[in-house]
Amino acid sequence: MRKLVIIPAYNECKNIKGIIDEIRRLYPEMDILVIDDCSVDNTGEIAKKCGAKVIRHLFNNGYGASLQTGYKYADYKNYDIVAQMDGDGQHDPKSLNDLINKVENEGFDFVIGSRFLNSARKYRMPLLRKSGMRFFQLLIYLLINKKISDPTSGYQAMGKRVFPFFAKSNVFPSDYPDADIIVFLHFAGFRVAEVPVVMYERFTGPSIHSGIKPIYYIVKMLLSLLVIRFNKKKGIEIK
Amino acid sequence: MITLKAKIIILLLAILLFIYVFNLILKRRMRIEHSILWLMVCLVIVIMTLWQNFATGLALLVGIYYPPSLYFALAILFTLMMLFFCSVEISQLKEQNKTLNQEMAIIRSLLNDYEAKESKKEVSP
Repeated sequence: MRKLVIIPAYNECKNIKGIIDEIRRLYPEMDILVIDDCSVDNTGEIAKKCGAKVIRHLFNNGYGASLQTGYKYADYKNYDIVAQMDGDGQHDPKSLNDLINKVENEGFDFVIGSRFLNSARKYRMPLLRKSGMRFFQLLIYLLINKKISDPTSGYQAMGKRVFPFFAKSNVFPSDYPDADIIVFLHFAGFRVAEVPVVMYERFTGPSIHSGIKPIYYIVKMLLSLLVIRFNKKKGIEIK
Repeated sequence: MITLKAKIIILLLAILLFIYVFNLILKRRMRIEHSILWLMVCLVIVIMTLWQNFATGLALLVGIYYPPSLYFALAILFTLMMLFFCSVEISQLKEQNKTLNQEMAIIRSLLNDYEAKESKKEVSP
């Protein structure tokens, strides 16, 4: 099976080399694609030198758009399984195998890597962020009757039914695809699962998931979930 | 102050606008980010219409002695704000559009050069 690891990156010149080297060391059979979202530093050049395929956006388009570029590439190149991880060093490449295995061997369509299922490690989080996540956990449970412990995790893997769909649809939101995507996939009939993964707290540079606009994010997510619920009720076909 | 008839009409219009905007989001004709402000405006209108004391209190707080003036002031302010955001968005879009135009033009030119080279190769192997 052909596997692709997508890494959206914006100004991650300090972190990107470590990540790519580690993936190539642990999983030489996996292809790596770095989406350089028009970084102002030399993230793209470093990634290329490390042996990853690099696609550079013409202008900065955001995390979600970068992911979608990755999906489009994966679809065009006919990959079987796609994994995605952040370019900031928070996601440990060691866990890639667990994510991909769930798709390859257990037949799940969409697998989320949860930092909280890992009993060995205690991931610390600011209280505000934690309570926000608890809130969305509850919402998700109410909507799809499934407990997702880490709905905002960007560490994921997905099968051939999912990423081509993301690539083609305008359903995929442009800034932070998170909890609403999980609910949407579940309603659309895809098999969703969670596996424990190793994640580290951020130690260098500003984060893409930084708490600059938390209120906006919550409102947007709530609205998005409402829309998805509504569309399900009306039985609107997935476009 | 404001008659019951007027209140009902305003409420109806606000609710209609809310439903219309929400429908646009459902049909994916408006992005959620852009719709948030419009939906919030509808909610604010509903709150201000239903809860007169809040509107009056707010007016006095700001120093306006004729509450309906507050409505007008807020409406104008909101409209200006939306126009401002539109200007910002348009500026961004123009810049991105320019970039796309330039890059596509360069790519097309390179492609033409490449095709010319390839056809020359075929002619003289």
